[in-house]
This record gives sequence, structure tokens and C-alpha cells, in this order.
Amino acid sequence: MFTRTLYKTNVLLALALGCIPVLGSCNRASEGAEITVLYYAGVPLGQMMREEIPAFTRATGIRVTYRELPYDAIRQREIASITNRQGTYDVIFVDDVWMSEYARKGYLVPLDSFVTASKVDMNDFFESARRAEAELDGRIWLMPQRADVQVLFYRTDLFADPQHRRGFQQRFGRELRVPETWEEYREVATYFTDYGKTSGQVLWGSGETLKRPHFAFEFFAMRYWSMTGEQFFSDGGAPLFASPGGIRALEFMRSLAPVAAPGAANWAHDETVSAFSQGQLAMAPQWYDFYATLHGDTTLPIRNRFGVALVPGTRVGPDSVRRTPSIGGGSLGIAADSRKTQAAWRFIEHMTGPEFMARAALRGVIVPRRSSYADARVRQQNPAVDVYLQSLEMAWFRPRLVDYAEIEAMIGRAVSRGFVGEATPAAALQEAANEARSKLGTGGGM
Amino acid sequence: MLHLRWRRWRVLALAPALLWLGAVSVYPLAVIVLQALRPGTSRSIRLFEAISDPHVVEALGRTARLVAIVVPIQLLVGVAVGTQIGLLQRGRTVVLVLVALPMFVPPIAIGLMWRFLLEPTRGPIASVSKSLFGLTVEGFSTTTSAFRNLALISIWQWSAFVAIVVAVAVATTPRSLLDQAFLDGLTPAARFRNVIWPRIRESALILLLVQTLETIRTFDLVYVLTQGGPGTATELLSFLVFERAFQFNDPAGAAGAVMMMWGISTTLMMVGLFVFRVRLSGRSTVYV
Repeated sequence: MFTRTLYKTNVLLALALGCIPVLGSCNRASEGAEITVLYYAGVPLGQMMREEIPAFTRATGIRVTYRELPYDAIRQREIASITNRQGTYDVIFVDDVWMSEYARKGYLVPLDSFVTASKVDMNDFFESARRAEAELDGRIWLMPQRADVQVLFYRTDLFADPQHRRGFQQRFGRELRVPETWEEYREVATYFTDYGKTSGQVLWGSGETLKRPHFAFEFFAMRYWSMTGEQFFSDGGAPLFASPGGIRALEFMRSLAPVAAPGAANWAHDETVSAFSQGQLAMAPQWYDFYATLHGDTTLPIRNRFGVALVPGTRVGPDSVRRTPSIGGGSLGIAADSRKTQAAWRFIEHMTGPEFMARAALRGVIVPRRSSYADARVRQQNPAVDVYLQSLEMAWFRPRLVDYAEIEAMIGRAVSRGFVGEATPAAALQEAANEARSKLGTGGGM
Repeated sequence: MLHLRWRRWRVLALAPALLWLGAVSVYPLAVIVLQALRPGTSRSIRLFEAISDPHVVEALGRTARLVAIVVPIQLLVGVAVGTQIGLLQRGRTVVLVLVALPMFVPPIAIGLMWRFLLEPTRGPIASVSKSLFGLTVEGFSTTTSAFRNLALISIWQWSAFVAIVVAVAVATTPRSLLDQAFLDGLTPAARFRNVIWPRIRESALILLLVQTLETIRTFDLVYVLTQGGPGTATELLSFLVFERAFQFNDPAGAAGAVMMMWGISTTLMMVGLFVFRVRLSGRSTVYV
């Protein structure tokens, strides 16, 4: 009797346990009023979205479960969820360099029909942001939400100091000014590093951000583009970066090693920005997004003593300098395994819409909509916004490759090796080009 | 009859443990083996591609160099410190707890802490070194300093573990033996060789094996501190596996390198256990 009861209980328990995933999938299958959003942790835009969710739910009736992950973990989690068809997330954060992989591997729902139906004015987005963060192969995959761009941070007090102006003039035979070309940049960096050594001050001419692979690649890219005027790969997928121009660009980077702050070979953003904020660097090419952080902090030693300018470039004519900052940003997309695409789109439309973006711009977030900068208060909050907007206009974007992460690692490793002298720039780039050719010729693709 | 029933019952009783072992150990192993046996980009399988990949071979060399530097120093430092702690008459527990501190800190936190301490422009060590001795700390900015500092941190982190194991073994040595050796006029070196070493020898052999395997698996520090750079200075085998599996989304490529790591670790373990067995079965000279 007891055994029979036990048997029945076990069968019922097994059925109940077996039903849980089935019920779960039934729930996911329905076009419900609850979506899950996965976003990048620790950024102001995430905080703003969290604050905005109650208003969004009131307006639409769609409940939102908002989740955040550190940048390093987010891509891996998204891909695992989508490829296993878990349907965990409906709206996902996508970095611009992941777009090709996500779109071409089928991780995203194309947004063209949603954009058309909602009559979204895509022309309100900056063209560079649209191309880098939304459009690929003639389709719209993502809605841009944040567009960052590289600029040059510099110490205004040092450049205005009569002693330095005289000293620089005597040594280089020209006026000390914010560098326009990379050669001028190296001269200014040399001057201030030498001044730091002789005066005993903790000061270096430049702060490079070259931790491999990510940072090494992105800060090499802006030199490479300006010195060669070409992308890293041809339209057919052939690597171009081991060309004489590419080698020249890496040789230039190598020549910066003696005048850059020690540690540059292993610095990520936070180290460079921290050194600059403490007044240890005369110049530092960096992403514009850090301007808001530095500008808003009243406790920093460089308070009111720094500015931002266009990144230097390569002279291509008597009055023409080719400047090629990189654009980088984040967008929102709909996960391919989402069963609530309509609700997900409503969320994306709201969080990338002109009203929300304008409010974000007022809080110092660098948003990719033109209309967001119409409000005069944005300039009060963000006095260097014109440099940002000008930089966006001239920005280049990193290669659109399905195997971007791997290619970035190859080139980043080569840059790091060339910078620290582990290999000659030519040998390092050639090795990376051979690896890239092998990868793209077989498993990869543009 | 009863015997048969008992045997059946024993099998049944072991079944949950075997199932659990199968789920957590055999299944992942099988998945990795299958991944490693998948066809590669050439005519070969991923395992053979991994073995012939110059990056993997170079990373293997770097890992072997790290093991060769780190493990002997860890053992020397750990045995020296552990012996002194084990011989303490009073306050041994307090000292043991203090020495064990690096082991309580998660490796990621250790990495972040050392990244800050060794930062060449703003780190406390750089500031003190510059102001007192006029020396510049290179931190992780050159290939040589990055590898050297990685080894030093690893030694610092794990010598404590060796010291604790040795201290506990030394503490079991009867005080009377040490006193007798002292009265017999044995030098400190002779006292260590004849009284202490025979009692910690087996522990030291096990520690040699464990620390070798632990150093081969070094990943967290590289991930937090250098991401394999500068150049390829700290590109160790375990980091390469992570890079392939999670950054390049290439589990088959990673599985090939994992199989290689397994092969090396298993061989080392078997050799270590063989040596251990030989040493155990041999006669040892213990001061009694």
C-alpha cells in the first residue's frame, strides 16, 4: 500500500517537474505584456532607463524586467541565450563592433518594418552613428542610443603657460599649440615628458591607452586610418593593414613609447583618465564620454584646467589634415529568440526616442540624435559639445566583421608587440595579416 | 544469497554518486573531447591544430617557464616560513591566520589590488620607490616586468598555502626530538635535514604536484592584470583557452588546447604520484 502511494507520488512529482519548462515556454510563447531587457552595467544611460521604466509601463502597460551585466560578460551571455533559444532576453544591448556578428549570424530581429510602421525619422540620427550602430547590408538592425567618439584631452594651463611657450619655441622653432598632426603631437609630448624629467614634476607628454587587445586596436586604428586613408580590410576581405602605411602607423606608435607615461602598454581607459585627471599627463587621446566625468568633478586637480580638441591627423594638403577618430557606441536591438517583438520594439522606440534622448543629453549623455542638441542648456552642461559633434562628423568606424573579436585580438596583439618592441612593426603586422587572411578565408567573412 | 543482495544494494547505494560524477565530470569531459575531435579548418582535427598552433606552443612554453620559476620559489619560501611557524611555541595560530590572508582574498581582488599597487604613475609602490630611491616601477608596462610581476604575485599568493601545510606538519614534531638534536650539537641545517624534513617530505611532494597544477591553471591574474600583454609576455595557456572559448566563440578551438592541458596535467600527476609512491615505500632516515 505504502509502496503504491509512494509510486503515485513520484509519478505526480515527475509530471509536475516536467511541466515546469513546458509551462515556461508556453508563457514565453505568448505575446505578453512583460519583457526582459539586458543592458550594460555602470553607465548613466542604464540608470536613466531604470528611472524611466515606471513611466514607460504606465504609458504602454508593458512590464519590464531590467537586468544589467558588466561589459565583459554581456556578449557571451547574449549569444549563449540566443543560440540556445532560451528566450531569456527581448531587448539587448549591442556594441557597435558586434553588429556584424549579431546581424549576420541571425541573433537579431531586423527593425526595418518597425521603423517604417512607427515612422521613425532615421535622419535625426547622425550619419556616422547610423552607419556604425544601426545599418548593415541595407537593413536596420539596431537603434543607436549612445555615440562616443575619440577626441584629444589636453591641459589648457600648460599650453597657455608663457614659460612652456618660450621653451617649446626655442626647442622646436614653432609656436606651442594643440597639435594638428601626429608629428606635432609627438613633438609636444616629447617637450612635456622631458620637462617632467628635468623639473622633477610628475608629468608626461602623452597618455596612451594600449592594453591589448581592445584598447591597443582602437587607439592604433585612429592613427592607421589617418596615415593610410584606408580601412583595415578590402571589400573582398583581404587584410590591408600590413601595408607600408600600416607599418608607418605602428612605427609612429612605437616612437611614442619613450614619451608616453610609463604603463601605457598596459593601460585601459580608467588608468589613462585617472592619470590625466590627476594632472600627470599633458595630452591624452581618449573617448569623449570621459569629458562629462572630468568636467563634472569639482574635486579634481585639473578642474577648469583642461579642454578637448579634435584628434590630430595626417597632413594631406597645405590646409588639409585627415583626422580619423573612431566612433564607438551602443544600441538596442531585439533578440532573435524574443517572442514579444512588438513589446520589445515599443521599449526600444521609447528609449531611443527624441524626448528621452533630449533628456539624456541634458544629463551629459552623448546621444546620437541631432535634435537632442537643439536645447541651449545642453551646451551649458557640456561646453565642449561642438568638438564632439565635429568629431562625429569625421569619425570612422571599426571593421564590420562577423569574426570581429578574433580579428581585433590579432591586430591588438600585433600593436602591443610592436609598441613594446617584442617584434618589429612590419613583422608583427604581417603575422596578424596572415592570421586574418587564414581566418577570413575559411571560417570568417565580412 | 545474502552476499548477492548486499552487492546489489552496494551498487544501488553508489548509483546517485556515480550519476552525479557522470553529470559533473564525465559529461563535460566527453563534450570537450568531442569538440576537440571535430574537423578543423585544414584537413586535421582541432586537437592536432591546437598542438601545432604556434600561439598555443608559445603559450605552453611561457606557462612552463612560469611553473619553473614560481613553484620552486613557492616551495622554498613556504617551507622556510612554514617551518619557522611550526616551531613557534606561542602565537602559532595567530601567525598562521595572518599568513593565510592572501588565500582568503578572491584572485580577482588580488589582481585588482596589485594592479593598483604596481601602477607606475600613481601606485603607492611607485611613489615610495621614486621618492626614497629615485627608482621607477615598471609595473606591467614592459614584457619583462609584466612576466616578473605576475610570477611574484603568484609566489606571494600561494607561498602562504605551502607555509600553512608545512607549519601543520612541523608542529607535529615532538619537542623532545628537537631538544635532543640541539643537545647532540646538530647545526640548524642538520636539525632541519634529520628531524624536520623527514616529517614534511611527503607533504612537500604533494605540494609540489598541487602547486605545479595550480600554476598551469593560472588565469585570473592574467585576466585582471594584463589580458596576456604587453605583447605576448603573459599569454599563458589557460588565458588562450578562455580567449578562444569565450571571446572568439570557438569552443572547438579551445577544446583542443584544453585537451593539451589535460594531457600535460595528467602526465605530471601520474609521474608525481609514482614518485610519491616510490618515496613512501622507501626507507627514510628519521631522527628518533
